[in-house]
Amino acid sequence: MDAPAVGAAPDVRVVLDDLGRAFGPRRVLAGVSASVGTGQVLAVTGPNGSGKSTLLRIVAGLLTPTWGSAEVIVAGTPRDPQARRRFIGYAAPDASLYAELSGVENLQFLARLRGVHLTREDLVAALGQVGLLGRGRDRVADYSSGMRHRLKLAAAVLCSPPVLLLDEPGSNLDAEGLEVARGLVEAQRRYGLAVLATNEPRESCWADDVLRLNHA
Amino acid sequence: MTSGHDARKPPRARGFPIALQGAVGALMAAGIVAALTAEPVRNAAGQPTFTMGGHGAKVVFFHVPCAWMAVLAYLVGAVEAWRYLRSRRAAGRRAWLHDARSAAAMEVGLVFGVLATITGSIFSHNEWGVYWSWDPRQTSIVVVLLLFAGYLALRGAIEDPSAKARIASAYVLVAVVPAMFMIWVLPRLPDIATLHAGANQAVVGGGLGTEYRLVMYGLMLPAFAGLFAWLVGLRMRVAALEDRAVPDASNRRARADRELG
Amino acid sequence: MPDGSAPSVLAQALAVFRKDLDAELRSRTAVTAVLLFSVTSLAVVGFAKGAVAIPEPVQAALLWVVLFFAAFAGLANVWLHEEDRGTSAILRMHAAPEAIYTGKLLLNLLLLAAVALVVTPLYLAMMDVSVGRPGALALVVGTAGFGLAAGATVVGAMIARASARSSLYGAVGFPVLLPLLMMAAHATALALRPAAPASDIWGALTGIAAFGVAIVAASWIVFAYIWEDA
Repeated sequence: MDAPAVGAAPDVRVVLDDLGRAFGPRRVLAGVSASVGTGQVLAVTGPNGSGKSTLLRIVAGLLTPTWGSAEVIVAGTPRDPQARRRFIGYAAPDASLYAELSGVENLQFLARLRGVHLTREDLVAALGQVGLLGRGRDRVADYSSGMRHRLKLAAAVLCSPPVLLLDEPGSNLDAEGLEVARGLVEAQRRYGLAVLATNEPRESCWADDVLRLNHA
Repeated sequence: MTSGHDARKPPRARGFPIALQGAVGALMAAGIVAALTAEPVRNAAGQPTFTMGGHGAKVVFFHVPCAWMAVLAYLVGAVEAWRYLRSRRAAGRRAWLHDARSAAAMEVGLVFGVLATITGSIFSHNEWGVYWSWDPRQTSIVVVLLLFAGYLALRGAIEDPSAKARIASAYVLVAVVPAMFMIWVLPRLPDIATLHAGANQAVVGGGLGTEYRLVMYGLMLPAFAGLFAWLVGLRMRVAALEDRAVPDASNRRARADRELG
Repeated sequence: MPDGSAPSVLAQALAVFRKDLDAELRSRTAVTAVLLFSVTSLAVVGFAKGAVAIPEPVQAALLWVVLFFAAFAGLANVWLHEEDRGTSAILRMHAAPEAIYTGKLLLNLLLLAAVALVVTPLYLAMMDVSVGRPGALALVVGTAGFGLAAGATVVGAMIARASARSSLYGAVGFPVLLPLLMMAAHATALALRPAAPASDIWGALTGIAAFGVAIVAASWIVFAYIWEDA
């Protein structure tokens, strides 16, 4: 795993311009504009159904916008929805890891897909930072929901992506887990930027800026 | 029906021009009269070539255009599916129109395919005494019918409008492979080709006279092509209305429906 | 920070294949489903046959009917698995669609090869079939098995996104694979006869191979549209 030199945070920016999305006749997102740059953390808040998760999925390149645009600009180049994915770490409640594989196998598989070979030390560090040391060889099916969420966080920050997108970063986490999540978001400032979708005040206060969504 | 590219401006589909509607009706009427009154085909000895005094074969005037329209429908369905996939990210109604036309063509194609199958077996019964003999043409029309039906079943089973349009379009394009194999490769396999050659040759080389050709290609085929375009246009307008449907506020049940979302 | 070069499609495909193989070796869901299905249908076919001698074309067609339904009983699993357990978003984030398709196709080829290796000899023994040209039969089963796996893979990917899936396999998959099954049954019947001319078998094999290649090519082109949510 190639650790970036401290202070060499890459030039990255996420720009939302009049962004909107409809599912069939139903509009879940409309007229959203925002901009986040290197070293910054943005929290997206809003009532259930206001499109927080949709917004994150659009930024991740998993959904196309119906109106407007969501650009991810890495090193001065806007990246198209498929090319941007390898610059993004993404964790969401509905994006599960493989329950039939162990925690270590999940991380190894995802790193391999991004062309990174994980050493034993990398794995220890990745599991250690989310407090899963000693459980790496267990199948994810045997994890508690909080442990699964910790593993998702470890997977999201695995290759130190310049863009970190966390949907409900603190869901199912205990007090110690919340500290872990907060630490990862803080550390992300050195690697790039983070966007959090959350309604928890104790999580949105990790951010520099808050983007409030209303029903479209 | 498809991805809500612009929920505020639901799509409209243009109708089939009234002048063309009249032209299709006139061609069809002239074609039917000409087909019924056409002199039966006779061989060199002056004997009718076909059964029932030569009239038994006249169902081909309906059968051949129906079969052509089924194939045309598949072509339109495939081309429009490809154009939909290419344009689906563009805003506006263009992508919607491509998908709607593809779906409408496949649906109308199923109808013409069923009609072609029925008229084909009537011809087979009139001339050879059996409704069905699994000759290469009958087999290929069955596969095409199943492809149309599979498409509609798949479309009906996917709820997300964008996934429905994308996956259905992908299905039409993948199914081009079996459709082409049914039409070009399979009938040429030595065993299969010789097994049913008799039935096939009777139709292909069945000597349609000049008058028959004129009625078939001059009247019936253009009339059926017009009918096909008309039906596809109608189906697209229905699809547009379904997508635009806004419940009438004066209707209590519709209002309750709207409140439920 | 990821470096400039993403891993190749082949490297990603092999990673997906390895992951699915590990999972399959652990749970054996697909292979159990396919084998149970094949053995059951073999038993039904054998029971129905009784002591009656059936002609080669029927013997050949029955073999492919068994293999077709066995393929659809198990090969869609590679997609259902991702869709039902909610892992497809993470997979989308990490691998190119072509790599995912290729990895899943490789696993399904392996699965179908395993099934064909079990079912074909069992079928020949149970049905008391004499094989005129064993080598040709092996070639036919291998080539048509490739097309069958390719077709079942792409249709499985489409059906994974639909509701009422189990009732759709036949309706959606059968018309796509019917020409292949007809060619395969035809070629198998030729291979059962000792006297069939080699040129006929080669002609049929070419058609079967072309079908498989065409299905893979078409799937490769449209797969991104099936798999991506955008």
